[in-house]
Amino acid sequence: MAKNVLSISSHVVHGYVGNRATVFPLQYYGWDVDAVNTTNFSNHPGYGSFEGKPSSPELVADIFQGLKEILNLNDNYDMILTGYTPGDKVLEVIYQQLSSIFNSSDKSKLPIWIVDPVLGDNGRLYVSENVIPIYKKIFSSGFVTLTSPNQFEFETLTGLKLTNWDSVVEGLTKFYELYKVPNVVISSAIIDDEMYSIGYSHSDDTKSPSIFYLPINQIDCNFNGCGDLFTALLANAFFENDKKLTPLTLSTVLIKLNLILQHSYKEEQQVTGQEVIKVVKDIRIISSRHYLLQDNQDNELVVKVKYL
Amino acid sequence: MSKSVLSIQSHVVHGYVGGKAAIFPLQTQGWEVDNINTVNFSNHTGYGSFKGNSIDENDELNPILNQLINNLHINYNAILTGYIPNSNLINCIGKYVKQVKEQDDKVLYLLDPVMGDNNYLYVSESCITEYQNLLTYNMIDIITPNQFELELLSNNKITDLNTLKLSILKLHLNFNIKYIVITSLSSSIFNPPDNEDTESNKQDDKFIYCACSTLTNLNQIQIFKIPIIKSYFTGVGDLFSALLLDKLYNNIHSITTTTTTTSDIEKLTRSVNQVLTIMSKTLKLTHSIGLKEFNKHKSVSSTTNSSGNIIGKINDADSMKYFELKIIESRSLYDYCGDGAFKPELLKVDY
Repeated sequence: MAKNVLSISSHVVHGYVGNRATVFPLQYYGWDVDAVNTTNFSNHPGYGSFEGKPSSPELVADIFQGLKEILNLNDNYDMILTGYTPGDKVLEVIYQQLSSIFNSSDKSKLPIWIVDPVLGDNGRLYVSENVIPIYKKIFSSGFVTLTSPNQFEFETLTGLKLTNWDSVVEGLTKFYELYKVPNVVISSAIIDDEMYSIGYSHSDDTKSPSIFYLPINQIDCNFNGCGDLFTALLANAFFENDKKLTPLTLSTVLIKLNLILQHSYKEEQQVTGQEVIKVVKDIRIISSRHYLLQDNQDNELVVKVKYL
Repeated sequence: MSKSVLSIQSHVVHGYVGGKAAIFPLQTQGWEVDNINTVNFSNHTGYGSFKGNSIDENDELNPILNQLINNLHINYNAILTGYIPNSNLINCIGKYVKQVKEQDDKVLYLLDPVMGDNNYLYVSESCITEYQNLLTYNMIDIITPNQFELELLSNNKITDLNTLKLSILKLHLNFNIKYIVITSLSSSIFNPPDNEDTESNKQDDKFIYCACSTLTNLNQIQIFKIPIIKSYFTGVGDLFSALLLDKLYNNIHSITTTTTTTSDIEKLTRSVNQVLTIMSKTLKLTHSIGLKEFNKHKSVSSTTNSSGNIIGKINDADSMKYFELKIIESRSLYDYCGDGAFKPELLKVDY
């Protein structure tokens, strides 16, 4: 049975960030992906220069209007994924359009909304700071099922720094108090000089949440588009696991991501002839596509899970 | 060994035409596909309504192409161009393709001159002269017009085998095009209407013809006769061109062949046969899944044809959405590299 996802993120002609990092993996998993592009750029800014322009709010609103004329948006999608959106006006349009879906009277087949609140990384914003309050509004709406911020984004949204496990618990608790988003994955966070991926699942309000973390096999290199790919893999794994976030789900995602990044690193070494690579501008999603379908249900990472 | 292609064609959010029909199949075959979206539409025009806009030449297309080719110096193995909505954009793209081909003639350029079908033009008239101008650059390796587009490009109405051959030769010789594939030809070319065998004419309505020819073997035009599935499918030509690029590239570079095909026409014919085989399976799958989904959602409909079969109908969003090409479900079909299910025949023309 076909699965339908609406993926709203950036488009670049060359390279694998935004929709270019999410669409193909999801298609390979059998999803019909309707891709709304928030930008039309030649490449990502990591190259030092780029051309093209972001999509205007009018264009994005128009595209939604066009879709509504041919589809019943209230029951067409199983999942909606939102990622890189550089400007507040476009993000506001997206919020308004999606709100009207979630506010519809027909609740029989509402999609799940997965939000990657792309703000920046390593202490640096790479979108307009005006999008921050809109993300806060989106999270407060009650429409979001899962979100996948990185450490910087999580800290920005909660105003709390993650320095040790106590602050992680404090931060996740605060995030839930603020926004009531039932599933949160902090894609990567450095705690005590080690990198971890942290999961928070609070699907039943009457019970206490499950908070857990898994170590990340860290490669000392910056991979552009890594967060976008992570969210795509997570979205699929989450959906396929009956929309539940568990350590096993997260472990399969981390393993696949690691295999793809390792492969990309090796290809970059071959192409550049250099032993040490600091930046991989283009993740090799196409040539590592066989990893996507690999069965990782039985893996050694999941046993390293720690609960908080 | 990775292969890369710059694909320049339309983007629709919902449905499978243009890039949506071409990119995923190419990616499953290992191609790194850089895609420039000539339009950004909600859906294809067959639904009767759509929203969105075309790429802007000055703000987007020209600077983006300049960035990729002259600043990032990306080396592509191939360039694929499809639907381009106006003549200024065709002109702009043509200039950059010319530059790339002048720098490296080994880059394989496939031009799908998307202009219309069945005597209906769906781009502006000025596109015809712009494509004709682009032909004069003598840089096209592969061209995949349908009958109507071939007629427009060659200024020559195709009514019989002679006019068909003449049009093909014109493209080969005047513009140095190496590989020509006419993706769909009317059966009346092969069975003239004055033919008295009316039963065979009726039978022929159920077939469509496809021709292929190479510059190095001008007297060996090959004809394929293919059964038609009666429904309105969109994106078929876009998928065809993408698959042809992959198969021909592989056959030229002997990537997937075990047999030694020697001549260009043998390589092209083999490639076209592989593509037609995949297309035939994809369309059958599309039709059967479409019917199943349609029946599940609708009980009564206006889109039933005379024989009681439900078909995709143009300008009817309700039926159209069920007959979008099943590009995702057909994933396992794209790597087919056998001999092909069809039997080509040599075109015989008496002068």
